[in-house]
Amino acid sequence: MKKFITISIIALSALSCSLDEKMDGYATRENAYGTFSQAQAVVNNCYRYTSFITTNFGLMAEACTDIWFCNTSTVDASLKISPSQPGVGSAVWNNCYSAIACCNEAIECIVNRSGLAEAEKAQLQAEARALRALYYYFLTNTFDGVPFYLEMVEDRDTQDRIQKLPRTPANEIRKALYEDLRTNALPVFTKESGLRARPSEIKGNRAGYALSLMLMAKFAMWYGNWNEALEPLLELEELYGTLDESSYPLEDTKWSVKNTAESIFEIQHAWSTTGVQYSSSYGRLTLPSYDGDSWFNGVYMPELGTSLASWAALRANYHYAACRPAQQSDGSVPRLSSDPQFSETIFGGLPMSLTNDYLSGDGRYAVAIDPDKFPLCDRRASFVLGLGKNSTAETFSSVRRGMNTFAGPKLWCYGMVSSYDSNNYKILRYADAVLMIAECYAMKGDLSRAVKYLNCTRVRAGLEPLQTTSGMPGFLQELRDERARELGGELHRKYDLVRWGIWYEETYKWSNSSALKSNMRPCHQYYPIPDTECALSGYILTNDAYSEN
Amino acid sequence: MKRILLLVPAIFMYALLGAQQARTLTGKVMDETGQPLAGAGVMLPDGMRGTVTDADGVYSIGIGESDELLSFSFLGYETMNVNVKGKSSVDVILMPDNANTLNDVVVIGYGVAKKQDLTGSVSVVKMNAIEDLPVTSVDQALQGRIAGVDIVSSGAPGGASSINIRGARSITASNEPLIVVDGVSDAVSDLSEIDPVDIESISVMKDASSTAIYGSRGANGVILITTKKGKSPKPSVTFKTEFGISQIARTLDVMRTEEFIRYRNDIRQIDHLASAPDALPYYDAADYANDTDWINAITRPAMYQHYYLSVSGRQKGTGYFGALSWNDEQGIIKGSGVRRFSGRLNLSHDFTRWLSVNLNMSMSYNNRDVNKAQFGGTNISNGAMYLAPVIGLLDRNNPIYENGALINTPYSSILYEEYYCVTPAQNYSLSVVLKPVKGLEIKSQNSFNMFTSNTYHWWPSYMPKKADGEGADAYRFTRDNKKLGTENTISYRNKLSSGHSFDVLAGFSASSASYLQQSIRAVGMLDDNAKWNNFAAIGSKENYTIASSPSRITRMSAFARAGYNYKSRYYLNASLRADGSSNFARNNKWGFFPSAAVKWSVKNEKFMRTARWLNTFDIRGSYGRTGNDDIPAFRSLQSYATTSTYIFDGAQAPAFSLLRLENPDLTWETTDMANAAVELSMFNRRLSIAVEGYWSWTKDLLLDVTTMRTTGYASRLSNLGLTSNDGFELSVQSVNIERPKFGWNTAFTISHNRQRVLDVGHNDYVPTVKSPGNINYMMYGYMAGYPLNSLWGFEYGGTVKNIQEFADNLESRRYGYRENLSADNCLGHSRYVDQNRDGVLDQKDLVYLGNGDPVVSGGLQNEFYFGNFRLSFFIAYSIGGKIYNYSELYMGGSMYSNQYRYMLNSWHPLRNPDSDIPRAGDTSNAMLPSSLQVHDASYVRLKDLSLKYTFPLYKKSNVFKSLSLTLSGTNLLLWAPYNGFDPDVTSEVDSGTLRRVDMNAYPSARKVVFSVQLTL
Repeated sequence: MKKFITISIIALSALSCSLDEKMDGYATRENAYGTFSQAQAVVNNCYRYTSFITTNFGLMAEACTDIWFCNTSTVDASLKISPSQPGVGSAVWNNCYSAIACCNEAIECIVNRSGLAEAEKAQLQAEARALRALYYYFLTNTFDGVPFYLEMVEDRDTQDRIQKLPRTPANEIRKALYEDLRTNALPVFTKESGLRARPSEIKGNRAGYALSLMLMAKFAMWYGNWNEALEPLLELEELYGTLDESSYPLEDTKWSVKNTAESIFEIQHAWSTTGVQYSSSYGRLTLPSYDGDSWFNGVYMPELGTSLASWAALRANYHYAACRPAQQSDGSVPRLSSDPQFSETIFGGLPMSLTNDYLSGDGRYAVAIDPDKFPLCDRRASFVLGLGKNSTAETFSSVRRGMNTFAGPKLWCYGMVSSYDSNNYKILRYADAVLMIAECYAMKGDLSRAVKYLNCTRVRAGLEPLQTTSGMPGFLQELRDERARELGGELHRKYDLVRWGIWYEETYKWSNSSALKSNMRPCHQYYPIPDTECALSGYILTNDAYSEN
Repeated sequence: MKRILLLVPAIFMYALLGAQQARTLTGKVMDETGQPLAGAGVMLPDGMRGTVTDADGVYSIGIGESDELLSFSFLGYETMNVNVKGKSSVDVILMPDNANTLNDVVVIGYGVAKKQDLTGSVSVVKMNAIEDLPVTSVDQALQGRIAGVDIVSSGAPGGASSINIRGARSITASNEPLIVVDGVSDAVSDLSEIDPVDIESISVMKDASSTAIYGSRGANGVILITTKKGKSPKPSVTFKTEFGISQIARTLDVMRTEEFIRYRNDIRQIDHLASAPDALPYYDAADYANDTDWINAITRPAMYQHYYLSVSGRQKGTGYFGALSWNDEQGIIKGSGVRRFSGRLNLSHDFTRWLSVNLNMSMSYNNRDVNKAQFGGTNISNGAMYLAPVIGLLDRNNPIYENGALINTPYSSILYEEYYCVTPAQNYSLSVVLKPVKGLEIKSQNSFNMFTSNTYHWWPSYMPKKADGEGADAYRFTRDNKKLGTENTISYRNKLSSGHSFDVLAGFSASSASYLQQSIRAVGMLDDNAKWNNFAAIGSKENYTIASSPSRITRMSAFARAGYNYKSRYYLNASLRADGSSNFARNNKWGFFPSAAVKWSVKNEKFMRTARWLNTFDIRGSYGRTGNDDIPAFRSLQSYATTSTYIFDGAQAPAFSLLRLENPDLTWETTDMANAAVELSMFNRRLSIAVEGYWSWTKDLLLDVTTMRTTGYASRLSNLGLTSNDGFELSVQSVNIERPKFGWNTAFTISHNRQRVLDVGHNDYVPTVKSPGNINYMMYGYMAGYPLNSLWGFEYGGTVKNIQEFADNLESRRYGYRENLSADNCLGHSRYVDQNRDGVLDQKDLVYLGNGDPVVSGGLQNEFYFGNFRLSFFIAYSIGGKIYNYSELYMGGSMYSNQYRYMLNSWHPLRNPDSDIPRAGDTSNAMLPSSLQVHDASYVRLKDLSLKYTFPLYKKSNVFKSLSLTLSGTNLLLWAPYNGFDPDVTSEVDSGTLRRVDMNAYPSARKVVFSVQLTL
């Protein structure tokens, strides 16, 4: 009996340890919204997923357009994409939805499940809404219609339901988000709260008022409601004022100059050998081709980096910029070829001169940067295009030979190590908004106002202002070219071309990549939803455009 | 236990001492090592008169003048008949009975059983076959020796190995068996904590009726290890020292500078054949100063040392076994190796006849120099296999892999980096055994285990790859595991005179384990001297990566087992276990695991008595259910992860990201297994044969099921899916020759397992290894209907040999190419079968290229005794598996790396226009994974060979018992068609599903060791 009691006691004492699990060291939905900084940590996470803008996103948004190309074997640059080879599409998809789920969670939990003060709640949820709209902006631009939801993924049942969502037409998503921002975000950003300000004036450059307005305008332009687009754009104008060199110097549009006044949204990066190390690698694509030991296509430029990986470089199509001088000695603009891709270049003459160096292999004289020609040209030519070392006029070998130019100092990352790009990615800025105003007025038929806004960027770049006489089709062409000159390389070009409905024709017409031209089909204007996702949805999601071909 | 079983008949015999006493014979009975055997039987042929030896092995027996023959016997030893006519003193040495293991006591879950009473599938490792092998961890000696047990190791000294028993069944959860040491579950984190010399016995439980008593831990089989205890009344001291050397067993057939330069010239020549057919070779080997043999440069002849001292004995009810050992094993890659110190103390004391206490303590201190050299795999720009011979040992860039980035050569990593891992472990177990009445035993075993692991890794600022001012990098990792456990059982066994025997056991156990991991990585340390000793010396505090994660798992179980047999003819056994585990969800904390087994010992039937040639004939079957709960804690709970990521105001801010949704129903996966076996032994037990067949189904897999990314989560752990394993095992043991001065034993095993994935939740394939390059294809992966370890790839279609053929193919679409080829540039390029003839080579053209698991595998052990010599050798084999030679993706025709020498016979327009080996520079990137890189993984290996001579010192000395000298070797010969280092290594020891994947795997070594063992 004694033994029985002893054993029972041992048994009971052992069994008294609980099988309940207590989470150690992890935050949960229940405890992550106690303070403002905790709740803000959830919102902070929503920024993180902008990391999809690495190299291959640049290949998608810039290298497969009328202005740039890149000779690499990646599926994105040569448009070998298909549902089973979704290329950067899967990164865009995965990151955007991860961010959206996080935004939805933040909005729901901050508004309904936190004990924060109302003003704190309002500010944080509005910030999350603006970011959510940003990710849907990228999704709809990349895939057209996508599954659209704004609720929190509460549990597995919600998750199962969301997995069965079909594509919502892109414009429905855009309209819904326009309304969401107008109703739920804009009223929060008041003058009193200090949030109605340019991001450069906001602590931490956090997203808010300007980003919301910009996205609303982008959405409205996609669905073609020019009045709805102008409304937020004019609010932006009220905030930013006139775009000119004195308020917004062109030099500041360089991606290496961070968080300037013109900024609306830029993705923050920093990499130094001994400091902050947070980076992406689009900059590795926008540097000129690397010969090793700080030599870049024949020019010694240690300021760009001493220890780099060599990648295939982004290059301008001839249509964007052919390496011809700004002026002949007689003042005329020389024609290098009768091929229209040389004659109808968007950038026109470049700050270069013909040299006495006869290239027998090419059968022509070499061209080189000519500092005297800088004042004669679009200032952006030597910003957007990589011709050589502008300060010393040393010219890249392939530019000297009249081949394609590289991307320019605007996108270069100085002092790059390996492939760590420490530039901020300025994906939305005020000049874009100004050109959007011009486009909206033009579409409304008000060409004179349209020209006024278009001339803001032209004049800042040192060009003569346009007169109002060019007429509607001519104006639109001018606007498209102006966007190419102003925003080239800033990850808008493909979206613009698709929105204008001319992506396939223009890209096919002008691209210098034969691989791209042999693979591209009209369906490539949108990326396919990755096959794995279609399968998981039970083929509720399909890529009809791709299967028709 | 052994002693108790023995004493009963011995006392009985004592009572029967005959009346005829004419003279007294005395002597001593010893075992083969000279240890006295206490309780050995000494018997006259009439079976009526006999005695037993005392504690010192000494006997004294009165015999008649005419008695000639005396028989000496001891359980587990061969009975010896000695002519004693005219002698007054006879000393006898009994040799172990290798054929008759029937009466051996086998350790099973929560107890022991006589081998003849086993109803489940339990393999007992014959320790004398492996005790002389120079291994630091016992798993290295076991490969191929136990039917149905597959062991692969990473190859590195002190590196992990992976054990699968009867195939893999889990995908996300572990497939490793439960390891129980002296009754304590999970007593070791790694088998290398135990010096193999300390091991007394190993039982491997394979079927569900044996393992169901371990419930949710038993699905992957159970390995029971028992360490030595003090037995002999006379203290015994053993000193053993081993010294040896190892070297790389096989090198790769790769190009040296002259050949490599020819290869590079071939690339240019073929590319420019049309434009410059008469161009002279572009590169000249004379321009290259280096001719580096990279594999030779980073490998070495490596030393092996082992010193071992043990003391054991049993006096006045107190048994003791104490051992200390020191191991130093260098790796064949420079800078790698392991040093281990281990100690063990097993004490037992019988306080009274009914109360005894056992205290087992062990510690080990492992100091492992982790391999720093990149070897192969995806390390294309700096792996030793890939580096071209023209590159110097400490070069900073790889001109062949033309991306301009700086590299650390493997040689520089060996030279500059510091990387080691120190793991102290301690185990304590105290058990109290009560035997209040005959047959009843109450046991309580309580244990405490501690395991810490400390990793130190440092990259100095002068590593070739570092930029100026970048500083040094340092890394520290600490793991701190503790486990407290209690196992309590009550058992009763009885044999009734009517022939009914039964035994019952009931018990409960509980354990609580806590795990803490912390790591810190600092990038840009200002001072090289600081290493990991002063983490404050960092350029920017942003560049710390710090992580810590605690977890805790509590388990509780109650279990019972009942066995019954009637006159050793009909056996019935059943067990049930209820398990509760904290790492499962609130709705599913408890599970139940039943099993049953039956056995019919046909030979024990009356009608079989006439079949005298047959000794045993057993037919048995079992069915049972086991579980697998081997997933980390907290996996059923909703949680956020904390990360430090995005930059605000120039500094990285903390962030909460979504980690998991709650799964309130998460529970263990369950395996149902049926087992059927026939066991025969015949010809006076000189031939024993066991055949086993099994079928198992694992359902409710703990599977990381992919979820749509639209939901914000990539996957969720669910109970979903079904896998199956079925197979057979055959083991044969025979005593071929049995003479007093010469013996020859053979043991042979063969096993076959067929593994299938029946359902993984969705129809799609799941890749586990993908090909490198810009487009990634599945190389290893699984899908429903195929094995877990399947190989996938394109079907290689040879080379393009003429332009007409290329042109025709544009229409027929029989073949596709890696890149777009044009008629000017198609010759000699590889082509692949376009399975669906859609003109595009893509995922849809991948075909199943076989399975990494062998069709059959096993081993053959032979053992010879002649006089004091013992010679044994073991041959392990594996037939029928497939393996990718991953390095061929680069070294079989790319531009970026050194090449296998067979590329000298590749397609060339002039030298070799008919070759089906792709041309030099077939691709600038990696090759497509195809049947071209898939090889037969079959092998036959002379795994172990040992020759031992024992001096029977006890004959001349009162102090020393014996001295043995052993020369042994491992991995001496390998026959394998594979062209990599070794087909039986794996670089993915941590993967649940992947076995035999050769990516950056440590090359295997050949080792020769001389050892001296002195016993006193």
